[in-house]
Amino acid sequence: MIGGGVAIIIVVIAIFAPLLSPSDPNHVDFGNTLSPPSFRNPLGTDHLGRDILSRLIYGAWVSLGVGLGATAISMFLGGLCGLIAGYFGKSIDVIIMRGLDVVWAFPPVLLALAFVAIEGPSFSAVILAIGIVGIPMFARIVRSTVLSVKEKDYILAARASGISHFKIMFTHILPNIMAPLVVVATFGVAGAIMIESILSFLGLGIQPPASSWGLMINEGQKYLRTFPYYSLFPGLTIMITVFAFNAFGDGLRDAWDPKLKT
Amino acid sequence: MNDEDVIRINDLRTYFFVEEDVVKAVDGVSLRVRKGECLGVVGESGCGKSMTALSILRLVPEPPGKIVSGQIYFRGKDLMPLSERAMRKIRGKDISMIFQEPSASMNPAFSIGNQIQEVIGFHQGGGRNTVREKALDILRAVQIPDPRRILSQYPHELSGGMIQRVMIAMAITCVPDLLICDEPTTALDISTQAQIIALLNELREERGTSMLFITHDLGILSWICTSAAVMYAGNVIEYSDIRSILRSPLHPYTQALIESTPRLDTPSDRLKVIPGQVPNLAHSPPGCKFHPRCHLAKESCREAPPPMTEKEEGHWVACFFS
Amino acid sequence: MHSKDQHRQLLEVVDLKKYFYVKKGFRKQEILRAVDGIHFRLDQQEAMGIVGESGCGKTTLGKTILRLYQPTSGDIFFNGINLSKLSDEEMRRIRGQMQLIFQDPFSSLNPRMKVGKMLDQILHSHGFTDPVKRKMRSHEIMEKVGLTPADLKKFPHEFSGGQRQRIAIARALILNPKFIVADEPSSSLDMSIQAQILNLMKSLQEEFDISYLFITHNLSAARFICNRIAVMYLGKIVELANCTTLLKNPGHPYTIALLALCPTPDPDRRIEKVPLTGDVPSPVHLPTGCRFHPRCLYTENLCKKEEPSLIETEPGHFIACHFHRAS
Repeated sequence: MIGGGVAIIIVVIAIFAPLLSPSDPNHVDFGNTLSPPSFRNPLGTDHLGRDILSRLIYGAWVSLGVGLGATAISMFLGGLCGLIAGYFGKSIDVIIMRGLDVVWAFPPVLLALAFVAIEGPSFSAVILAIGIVGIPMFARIVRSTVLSVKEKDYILAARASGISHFKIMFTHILPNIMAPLVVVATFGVAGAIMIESILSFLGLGIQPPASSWGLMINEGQKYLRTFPYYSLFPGLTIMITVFAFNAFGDGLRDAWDPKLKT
Repeated sequence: MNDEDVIRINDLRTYFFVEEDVVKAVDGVSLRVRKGECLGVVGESGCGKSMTALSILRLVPEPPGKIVSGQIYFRGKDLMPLSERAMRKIRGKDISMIFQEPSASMNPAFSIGNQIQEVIGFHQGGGRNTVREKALDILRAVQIPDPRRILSQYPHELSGGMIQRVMIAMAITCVPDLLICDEPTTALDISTQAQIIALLNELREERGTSMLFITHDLGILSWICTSAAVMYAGNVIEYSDIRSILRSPLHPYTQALIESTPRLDTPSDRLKVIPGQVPNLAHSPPGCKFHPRCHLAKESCREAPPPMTEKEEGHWVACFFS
Repeated sequence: MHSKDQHRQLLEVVDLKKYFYVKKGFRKQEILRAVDGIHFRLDQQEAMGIVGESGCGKTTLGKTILRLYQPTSGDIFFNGINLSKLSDEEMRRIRGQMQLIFQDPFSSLNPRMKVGKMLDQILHSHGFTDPVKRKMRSHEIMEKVGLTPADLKKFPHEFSGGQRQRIAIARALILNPKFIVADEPSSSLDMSIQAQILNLMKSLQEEFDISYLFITHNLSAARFICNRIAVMYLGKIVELANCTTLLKNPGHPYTIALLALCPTPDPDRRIEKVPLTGDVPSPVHLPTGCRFHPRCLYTENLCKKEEPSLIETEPGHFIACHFHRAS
């Protein structure tokens, strides 16, 4: 649950960014470009003299927003598809899964790229793109878990007791597939943040002057030799965030196991 | 110490250390198996019968389990101080064991022949042909039809009964002094079960292999065992020859067990039920562990656990009031 | 209206078949004839045992009668209604009257659902709209099976095997069914707990006027609960009679063998010779003629060619054997 703690801290930071950030992330100061960490700028400044720490904190808002938002879309829509396909099987299963296979066939970044190219780069477009791209993975995982849970005696018992399909799906099967779903979701958040970074890196995601961690890595790549801090800090931050979410997922899964409750 | 004892267990204690609790799976068990006999160890789940067997072969999972004290004399020698290496030489050769789930005992990735020959090779050595011949011999001895074909087959191609025969073959190939059987027929059908029991009986009579047979079924107990020890919550509470145990049980638990078994020959309107539940092995009742459920219980039962006393000749009971 | 007509027929199964199609290799398909033409009748408050070894189809039979598997062909008449012809929704509504108790008390309860919620959901699905009434009924049923209302707040893993089976029985009883299929309800439990569960089932039968279809491989348990016993082998009934007749005067060689091999705690009874050869065969590759002939000690030529039909040799006693041994 330490991961959970860290993740929550990051989320809190993102939410309270304006209060926590030491200076205005957009304040340009040409007299102070690319300066190493100092008291005034704890993580240094970027090529426009903007405080890296502040940009990092504001960037959290962006990256997390995309990460969580996109994953939420993937999880809900993908999960629903997987649940229905897995539970009913036969033709419904085939239709849904083959349909998703079409989406699955595209490399995620390319698909996200295509989406953004059509819609134009914006916060919501990026979330939607990454979200849709993630649907097949969730659907697949949910479906296979549903297939194994479906065969359990207690599901058959629920049918034998005359419980409707809808209730069985949502009150019996769903709680028993949450565990793997959550773990995959945390990987999904991590993945989404990565894709957002790549998109921003390629210039197709968040546009400047807004800051996102990916964008910062992009901007910093020119200066890697002389001033590594620019890319290093956002990179580290991504790593820590991703790790925190993964650990959080593990912790959640354990907490949800009813056998460990008493 | 009787010369005729193949194995003699003296006050064995095997405990499991789980978080703050100490689960006393085997709590002072003393048993012996004489040469040529089949001792049945009977009891319900959790009574410690399987753990006792695993303790003999030192197969108790080391954390969290531990053989805390006691001696296990095999052919007069105490096994407890032996090293793991020495134990490995004994397992499968002098003392063998067969388990309940036949399909779980074999490696699905290797052929039957491969697995039998591995055991024979390890314990008896010899060139490839010798080992193969020995494997065929032993498969014939357990009444497997067409042993040559079996050698090249894989576990999933065989039925449960066949695999169990193969397991028995592997267990007796080195002519062990003691064969431990842990509920070997529970997972099998009635007809297969009968065949396996008949086979084990024959092997014991022809080869003189002594057996320790663990079961929860009194019917099977009566078919294969010559003597029996009844276990409850980690202790042996009654011990005698099979006829005395079944016809004139002395311990209230044994009596209740027999009366709660539905039988073909005596229909009953209601089966006798033992009130209450098996105690938590980490927090067992003081004194006699059975006293909370016993209709004969008195104050003295709570004070100290009753020792095993020989109430009749050859018939031992751990009860103050039997 | 009630127990005046105690012997009213409750269930009639007519030529019921359930086949499974097993894919083997690329295009080949094998037919697993799990249930292959079963007929029988069950009256109110009667308990019938279905006895057989693994692969005989008894579990499939139980589930098919409850239409948890779709029958391949045949009819199931429950209180005069043909279950095979009902729609899914009609079937769902009638399920309250026929219930199932599973063998494994560890897998038949949802590990993430509290006992109380499970029972509440069942009641709600069958028209109990008043939450107070639902609560009362749940409390009532828990007490009937020997548990307490406080247990409703717990999760299944907090109970022992025997207690879980009691919960399963409570679940089966809560809608007041007239028919319960019990699939090896006590086989995976310890002996003393088995006795408790069997006793409970018997007393509940008397109190609530329930008919049981008791599926088991344990003849002694069947004898304790049932009035009649049907012996199944490879998808067919080979013998059907009331308990006394079956035990005293068995006709089919398989029944005779099962009786001889049924373990009894009698030190004087030893198995002299096992009256059966070979292993239980697979229901995919059925023998020709009489399905039992490869293992039968009394096989003759006729047995290999012609399948014997189930004939009533004396009132209430049915045997499927060319050379049955009943007098």
